[in-house]
Amino acid sequence: MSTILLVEDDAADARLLQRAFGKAQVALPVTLLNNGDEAVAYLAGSEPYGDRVQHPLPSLVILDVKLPRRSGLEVLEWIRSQSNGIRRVPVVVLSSSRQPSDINRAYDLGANSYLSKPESSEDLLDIATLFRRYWLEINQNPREIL
Amino acid sequence: MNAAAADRPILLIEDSDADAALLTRAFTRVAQNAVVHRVRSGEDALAYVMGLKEYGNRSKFPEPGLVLLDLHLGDLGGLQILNVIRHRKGVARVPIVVLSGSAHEDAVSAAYDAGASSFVVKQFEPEQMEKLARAIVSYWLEFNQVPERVITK
Repeated sequence: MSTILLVEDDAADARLLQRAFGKAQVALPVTLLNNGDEAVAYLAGSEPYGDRVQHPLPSLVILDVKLPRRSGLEVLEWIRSQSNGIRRVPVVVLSSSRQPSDINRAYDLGANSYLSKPESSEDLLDIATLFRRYWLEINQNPREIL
Repeated sequence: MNAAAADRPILLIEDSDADAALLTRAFTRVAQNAVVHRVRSGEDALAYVMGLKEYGNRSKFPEPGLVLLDLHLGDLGGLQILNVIRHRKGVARVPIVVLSGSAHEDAVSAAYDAGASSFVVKQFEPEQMEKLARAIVSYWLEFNQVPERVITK
């Protein structure tokens, strides 16, 4: 069973998104990490994430931009520079910034998509439903992540 | 609604007339304001995104908010077009959804390596195709944020 890797340092935002995913019947479990270094350690399979049964590679990564230790964009840059299949994992940047410079930078570094953080809980449910429908039902994710 | 993307046309790169007709019909049915510009060849696709030849007239051929790319084109293969677009300054960022008749694992991986934003399997039943078009429009034109201008001059 794969997972959705959610990298978000704001505990309240993370909780709301996880709840919306539950309501939207997202079938994959969500793995929540709260900083960029942890995200890289998880994807690289460094300790304590070496056991891939317990810590499976994700089908999709959702990255906040402003993260402690290593920013979301630095994590994205790291993902795309890998020589193994990790480099292909679809990455959706979820940010409260609508600045064109931030959006451009995310695409320059290889983001598949950039979404603005929703402001209301109804919008959040819409985003969660859209995620499920698009990334888990319609999109063909690369299987050769390892 | 993300006005920036929704106001821009969809560029459909598809060499089969039958598939192009099916796709165009589906997209214009689900998004009544959607404008679909279709090109047949890889060469025309590159000319369009780069604004060369007649495509330099941006009031007639506006920069696309989304590119739908058939993987199996006659002249330049779909992967080659992806590679060129992704390395071309100014157009590199446009979302590109690869459409394919099948989801062979190697083809999916190669498309992501070449810079596909997403990979979807074409549907041949009009009803299924419309459902797919609705999901693509809703995700890429209504929710996804794109850079304000694809081409920087």
